[in-house]
Amino acid sequence: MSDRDAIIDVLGKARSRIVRNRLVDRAAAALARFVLAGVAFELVGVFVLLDPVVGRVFWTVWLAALAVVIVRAVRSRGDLRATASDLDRKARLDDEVLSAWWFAQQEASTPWIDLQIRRAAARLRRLDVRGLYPAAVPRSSWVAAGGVVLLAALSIVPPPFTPTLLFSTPAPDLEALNRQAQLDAIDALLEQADRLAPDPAIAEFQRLVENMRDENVPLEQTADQARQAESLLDEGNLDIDNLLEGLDRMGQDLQSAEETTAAGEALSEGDLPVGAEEFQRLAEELEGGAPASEALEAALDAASRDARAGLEELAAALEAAAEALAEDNAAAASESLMDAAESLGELSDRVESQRLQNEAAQQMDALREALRQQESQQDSGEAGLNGENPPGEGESGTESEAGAGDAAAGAPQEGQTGMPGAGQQPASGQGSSQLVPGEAPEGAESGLPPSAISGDLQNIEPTGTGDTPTGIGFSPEQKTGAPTSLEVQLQLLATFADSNPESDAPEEQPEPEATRREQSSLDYRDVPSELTPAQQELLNRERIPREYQNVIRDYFRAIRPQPDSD
Amino acid sequence: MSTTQIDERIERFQHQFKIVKDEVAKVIVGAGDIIDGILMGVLARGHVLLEGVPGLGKTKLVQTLSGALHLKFSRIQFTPDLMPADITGTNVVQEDGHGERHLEFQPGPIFANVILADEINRATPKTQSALLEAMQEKTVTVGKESYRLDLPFFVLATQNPLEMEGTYPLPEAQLDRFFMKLNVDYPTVSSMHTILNRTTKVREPEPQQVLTGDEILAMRETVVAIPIARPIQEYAVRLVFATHPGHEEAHALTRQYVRYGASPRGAQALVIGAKIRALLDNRVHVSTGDVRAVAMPVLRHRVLLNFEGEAERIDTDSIVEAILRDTKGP
Repeated sequence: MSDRDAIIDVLGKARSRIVRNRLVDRAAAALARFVLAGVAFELVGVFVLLDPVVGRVFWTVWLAALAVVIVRAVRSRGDLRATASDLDRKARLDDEVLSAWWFAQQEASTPWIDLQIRRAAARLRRLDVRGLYPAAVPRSSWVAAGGVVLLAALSIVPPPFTPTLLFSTPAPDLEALNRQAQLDAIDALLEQADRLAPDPAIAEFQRLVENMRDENVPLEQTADQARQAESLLDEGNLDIDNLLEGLDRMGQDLQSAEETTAAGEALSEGDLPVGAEEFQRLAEELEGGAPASEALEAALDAASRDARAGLEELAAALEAAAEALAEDNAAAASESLMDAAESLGELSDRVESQRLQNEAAQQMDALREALRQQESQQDSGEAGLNGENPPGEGESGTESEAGAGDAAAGAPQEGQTGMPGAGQQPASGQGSSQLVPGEAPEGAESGLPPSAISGDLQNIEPTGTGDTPTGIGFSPEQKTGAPTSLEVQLQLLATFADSNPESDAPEEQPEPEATRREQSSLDYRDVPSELTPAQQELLNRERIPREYQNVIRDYFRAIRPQPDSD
Repeated sequence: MSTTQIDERIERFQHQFKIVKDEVAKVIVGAGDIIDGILMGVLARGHVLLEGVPGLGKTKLVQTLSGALHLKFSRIQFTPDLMPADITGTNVVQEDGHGERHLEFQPGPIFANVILADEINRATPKTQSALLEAMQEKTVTVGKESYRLDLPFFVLATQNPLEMEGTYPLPEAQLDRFFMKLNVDYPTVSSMHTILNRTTKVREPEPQQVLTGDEILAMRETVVAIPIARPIQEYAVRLVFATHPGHEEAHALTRQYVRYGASPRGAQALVIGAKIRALLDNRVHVSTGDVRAVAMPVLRHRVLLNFEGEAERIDTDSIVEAILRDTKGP
């Protein structure tokens, strides 16, 4: 190999190593930059629910740009002149290779040029090109690797099925998933209730569930539907309440006879399945030839006469049984009692269906409340970002919106007092409290439901028109506008204070003016609070979440007048 | 010419350069770069301008160098009343044995191989310009007659800084004819001690003549024989064009402060100086490092400041430094 060829050969080898290293460097650097951009996008996707289209566009552009950068790096072959110059610089050859390469390219030949080429070729033959251009892992590749791990983690964790990376979609909205799960649970309750006893309220609630599944339907648009469903539910609750009341009276009648004492107690307690079993047992005894007392006939007759609307079938069966006993027709009496048992079974299914509807409504109400709070926070956050509302006024804006919505529905302010507003206060507490006597306290504990309020506030004179389900209303002056939660709270506290015997305690002496001035010299906002941040946040909320309603209940229990003090 | 012969020529070149430098160093303490620059000028057929305040040994340096060279030396002390004829010579009326009178040319001090133009900027521009023809064409014209100067011919001029009293700035044309402008600075402390030790003895060291005129001419041929690759030459050209305010490659400082940049003669000087430096480094190729090393003394006096540059008291060295810093290599 001639000296000129040797120079070209070594330069070619050096060039391939330079190109390879440069390719690795550029690809790693580009990958690192692009992966970091992807990580940033994923991080945004964790906190902000992005439209999947945005995700697809981003990742498409991402991949295209990365491909362009890598292709350009691959195609940049570099020339031998630049390689010679780089080799001179690396090996500190003072442009010897560059000069020799140039003269070799020119194919000029003079003794001086030949000497120059010979010297350069000899030096290049001794040169360790591999050592000059080692295959090193670029630093940026570690950044890229870390970014890939982070990207994978963001795409996979926490929900392992997150298809963010693979399907170019943003991270899933966990709240949405949770919301869908809650809606599924509500749907299951409604289906179970429908199987037991179909009801118009169930169909309305099912339509509401379907609309709430659709993320394109704003929450406010489902408000009317929710109110309609709850109105139907309230009607059903009233019917069931009426039924239970009638059964209670029938049960009391039945307890006058020894044979039907157990059945009567069951009916009074609202335990309809036990009542049905007792009727069945009595029918079987009569059919078996057991003697029937006159008291039994009288009890059945009295119970049939005390029946209310909705209990006609049961009353008819009991009346038929009484008549059969009067005619000493034990078989007919037994058959009638079996009919009564069957009727009770149907009533039991209806009651259970209503209970399930109330439970579904309660869960629906909690879900809607959570969504409403979420929207309020987002609105206040956006308003704060846009500078529309000064800090601290976000809630007032939200309250005004909610108040406007309630006012349009003609309902009093919801939530804060525990009094059900139109379509906003869960009717479940009220319903469950009225359905089964044994469950009434439990239902009352789930917040401040009407029954609890009515139990605690028996001394409150209903000043309003009584159009609220509890019958507790406000004066016309108070109903002219949507009362703020603070007003309602103050009204309740004032009511409690009036009804509380301990309110007769001597009032505290007012502090001297000078003392108050001294106290007011410190800004109240600078006073350190003993509450934890979570407690402060809870107190600042316009609506009390259901899970914290126990706190409110405990508070009212604590300030309730003690029985021995009466 | 074989490779061996070339190697021998290079070796001889380095040896001759070294012995002259060593001989000068016997008398002149320190100032190694100045000595290198002067010798480069000699070997590049150029002239060298030494600038420095009085007392730094500029004249002594030139005298010593001429003493080391087996050449005819002439010294011209430039003064304000010095006339051109005092340099070039003049025709004088002579009377022969027959009583006939005729004009006979009386050569001036310029007719020598090594000219020391001491304090050249103390003469008027008219007198300074008397050197122009001699420096470039190596001829002197008096009346209608032109007289060729003996080769090698080179002028070693010294000048005081322009700020000093009674000085005249050299014309641009004459400045361009100097291969290099070397700034002579104060010696270091150790050099000062050595100077004192040498010059305060009974007998000062004197240089021996170690190089003849023919040997200098041969060394010049060796210099110009070295080929320079186009990429390196392009770099030198870019440096020169970077000093031209109107050129696309002009440096930002050049556009702002420079009126005229270096001429092609400056580019020639860059390449020749780089070649000499390559030979001294035992190389047969010229590198950009060689070009950069000689760029400052070659270009600093060829960059002429505009009014703004003068007003701002911009130093041309800073402009050349900026150009060297920012001009991309091959």
